[in-house]
Amino acid sequence: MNRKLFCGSDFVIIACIILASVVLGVFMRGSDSADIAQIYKGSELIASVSLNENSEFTVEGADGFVFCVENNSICVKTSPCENKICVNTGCISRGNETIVCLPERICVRTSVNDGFDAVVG
Amino acid sequence: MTKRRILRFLTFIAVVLIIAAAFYCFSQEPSNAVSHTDFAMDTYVTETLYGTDSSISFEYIKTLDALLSAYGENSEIFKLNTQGNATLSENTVSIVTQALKYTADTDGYFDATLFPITSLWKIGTENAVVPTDEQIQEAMGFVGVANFSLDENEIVANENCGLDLGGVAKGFACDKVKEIYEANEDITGAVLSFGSSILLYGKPDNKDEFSVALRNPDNAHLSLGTLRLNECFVSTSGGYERNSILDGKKYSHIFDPKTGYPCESEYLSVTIVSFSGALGDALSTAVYVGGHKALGLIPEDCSYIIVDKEKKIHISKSFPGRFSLTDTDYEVIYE
Repeated sequence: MNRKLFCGSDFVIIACIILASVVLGVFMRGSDSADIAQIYKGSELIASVSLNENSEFTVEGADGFVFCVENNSICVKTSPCENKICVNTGCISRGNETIVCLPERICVRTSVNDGFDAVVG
Repeated sequence: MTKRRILRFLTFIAVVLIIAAAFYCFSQEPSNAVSHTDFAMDTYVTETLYGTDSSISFEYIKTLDALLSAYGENSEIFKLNTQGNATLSENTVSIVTQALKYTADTDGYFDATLFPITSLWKIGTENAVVPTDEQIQEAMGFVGVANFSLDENEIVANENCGLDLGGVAKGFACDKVKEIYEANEDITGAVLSFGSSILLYGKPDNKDEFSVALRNPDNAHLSLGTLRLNECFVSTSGGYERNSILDGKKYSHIFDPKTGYPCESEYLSVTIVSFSGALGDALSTAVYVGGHKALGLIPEDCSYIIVDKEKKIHISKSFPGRFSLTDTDYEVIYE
């Protein structure tokens, strides 16, 4: 009757479980990040991509455009428009930042939890 | 299995569930912000709302756009510019009155009557051209507040004259949308961004102030620093955003009303923090065009953040927020 519920090895196991849970929690938090970019054609959302995986891609509905995700940022690599303002904007990575191609009515908007509510300038 | 083993097993399961639940809560997005993006007023608009999840301003902004566009065939301004007269609705009377006042008050650095010039160059469109000097001089003869008479809601323009409200329309829309937010108790905070014109309303979630990145005009990917601001309007003018490249030369969409040519400013960008979106828009254009000579136009209850070409950031002492510099290549000057 006087035997304890937990012995020394049990505390080691519990400590391991807690450690594993912390690692799992941190991993889940990282992989479940809301850092995304949304691509619009006019008012229509035509693509939503993660900023956590490097890639170069085209999107149906954005003919002639090539987009590039690199190091948690996104840029327009190629555009069919003449003035190339969207290409020259470079990469964006902050919360609610946009790259806009007015002639083709294409907009890339980042949704990043970096603490910024807006970008000016 | 003994009772003791069952108890130990259940204890382990409970520990795992409690920790998993704790981390699930921890990993959730702490803010209730919901963002929407749409195309209106010839640009993309992003609305971020705190306290409600449905966009409430886009339809209203599109309605305003339909009234104010210089090129929308059913707009009141289009009718004025093509017919020489128009009967204006309440909102159009309000913005036209403000635009003509700012034109008269800004020493010719902001001008809402530049339609003969902007429609000649068509900068920012696929039809952009470089007109001849003769064409520009002829068009300049049709520019000026004296060419318009507004009597209550009836406006008349002299022949070949017209209004282009593009310099104040987005700020005016911010003013009007703020009224909508104020009438909706569910909205505790909001950010409405046209890019160059931004309304910061109420409070963001979990913070006392809005954090706003000041973009590096030389590299949009980089920030010069962070602005901490309470509710206000933020208007920015810079020649690097909308332009056309014609015969290998870049032309800004912002015109110098004194010459009829695209402006070549002494500044890279001019940001005005104000308590009126339309006024902020007009002032940012005026100071971008007029440079240091136009700084005296800024009233005491407005403030400026100017990035010049010598890597200096000029901030007025009346700036109501705080600025933290992150790009140490730049120098901050309070004046």
